[in-house]
Amino acid sequence: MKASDTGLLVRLSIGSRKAFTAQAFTIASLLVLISGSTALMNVPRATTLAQKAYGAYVSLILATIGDVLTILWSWSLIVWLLVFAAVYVLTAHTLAEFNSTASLLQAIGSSRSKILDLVLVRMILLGIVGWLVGSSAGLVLAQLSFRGMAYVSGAPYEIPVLFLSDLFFQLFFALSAILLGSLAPLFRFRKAIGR
Amino acid sequence: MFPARYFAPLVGMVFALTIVLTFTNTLLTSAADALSSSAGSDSLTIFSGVSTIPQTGIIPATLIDRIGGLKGVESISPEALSLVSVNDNILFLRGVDMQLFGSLTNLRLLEGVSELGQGKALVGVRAGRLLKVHAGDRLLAKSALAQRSASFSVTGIFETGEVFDDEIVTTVPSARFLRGLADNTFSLIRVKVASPEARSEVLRVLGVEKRERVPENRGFMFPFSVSSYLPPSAQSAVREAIQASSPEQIAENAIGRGVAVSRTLLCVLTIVVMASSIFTLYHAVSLFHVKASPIIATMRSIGATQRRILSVICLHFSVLAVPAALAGFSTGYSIAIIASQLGLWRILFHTIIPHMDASLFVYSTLLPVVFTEMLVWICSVDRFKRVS
Repeated sequence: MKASDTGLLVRLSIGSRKAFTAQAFTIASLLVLISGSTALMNVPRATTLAQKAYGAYVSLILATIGDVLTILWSWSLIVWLLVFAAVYVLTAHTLAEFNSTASLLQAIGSSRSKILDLVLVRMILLGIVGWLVGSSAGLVLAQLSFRGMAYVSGAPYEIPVLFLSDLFFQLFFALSAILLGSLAPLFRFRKAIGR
Repeated sequence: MFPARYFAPLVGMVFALTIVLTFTNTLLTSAADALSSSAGSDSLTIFSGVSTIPQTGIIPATLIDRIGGLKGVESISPEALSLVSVNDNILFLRGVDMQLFGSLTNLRLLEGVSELGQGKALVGVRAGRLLKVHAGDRLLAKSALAQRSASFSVTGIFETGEVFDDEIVTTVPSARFLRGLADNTFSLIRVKVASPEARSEVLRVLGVEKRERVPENRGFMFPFSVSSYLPPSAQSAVREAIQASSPEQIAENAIGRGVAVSRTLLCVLTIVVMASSIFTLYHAVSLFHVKASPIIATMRSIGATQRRILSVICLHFSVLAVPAALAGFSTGYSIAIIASQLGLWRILFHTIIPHMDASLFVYSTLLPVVFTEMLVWICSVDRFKRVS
């Protein structure tokens, strides 16, 4: 495939930039929650590593923090449900508006698989852009909120961070949620354009 | 008038939102409940004035004499608590006088006999599950903060329906030894009082009825202060200060001071969840209008006003959203129970048991429905304006 073909495929997949931006922002707004909570979860872990002075008490502190972290982790897992629901809504919305384009493409000779490729590329692009914006914004939000809380409570400022593994984990789950969430609308769309 | 499938994305979002909110609110309220009953759900707990939570303090045994003879005091249970590590699991070991403890606690024996003595211990049902021990087994409890350990023979497994189910119960001297407490001290005293007047009398005698706790600046807060576990000799003279609190006050103190970060975080996240869902809901409303536009156009052509069409849409949506919210609540609550039973929800080494109340139910189900209904109305008005 030539570079110009790839560019055309991407442009056709994205369609209206305004709509694509709005949808990417929607995914990002939910990924912000997961990214932000993960960054905050990393604070006590980083703090504990720095506080070696506790010596014998470290295992106790780790056990205590571990409980809180597990609670936060279970909460962030539940938020993925929202991402899943959002992807379902977005895919259904995209496909409803893509119907006329699909008909036009079919009329000029595009195959059904090519049209489905366009939708899939669009969803993957949505996932990647949403992940990039969501994880960055989540990190910034976590730092701002932690700074705010530290300011109010007079606590020292720790820096919420995201480890590389967190970023890969979020990307993997974002793409998985996108593929799973768009399965049902895609299946219906496939049937519709096959007629 | 509108096919139900047109509302599927909106109803799906209400379902998902209700699950997330139910899970979050159950976690929040149940964590507060777990903290409030962390010393036992009796009417009064007397503990050190400088400790964050009852378990971490040290109080003198002389207090028993001061309140023991008061009118309206039904029973008193002085207890010594120590954090111990058993097979790398950290949990509380509670030293009690079995008779006094039993008078304040509804203890039901599930296995073995209710017998305590030197080297003998009863294990709470959830602690037993965590440690995988049964009556007749032996366990080695290592003090989590001192170079001390003790071996116990498990005489029985009990259930109370309270926080004690997550603990090991043994004699006071054994707990004192593991904690490093002097003979004339305890961690806390639980008191059962007959009436609010008796409660006030106890508080008056202790001289703590008007004492206000001043929040301390401790930097990033862990759920409790590790420093209060230091040996008695290393603790300050203010250790003599005492306080007496109801379970609610204990929760307020512990939440307000110890886990403020977690609580604030969860409250903020609840709001952020709602805010983050606005965009998805907006897309869901747009999708509805894309699908329903022929029907809406027909309605307009036969003379229906915008307000009338909006009312029909909202009414139709409500009929579908309420069952979805109820289903979401059941699902969210079930997930919370599963998370708790899997041991994912623990705070201060006690299991958070999800509990339901009317406000939790109304808040978790009504909020997503009303919130989505408002968005449907606002987005639809906006859509009508743009179309016209």
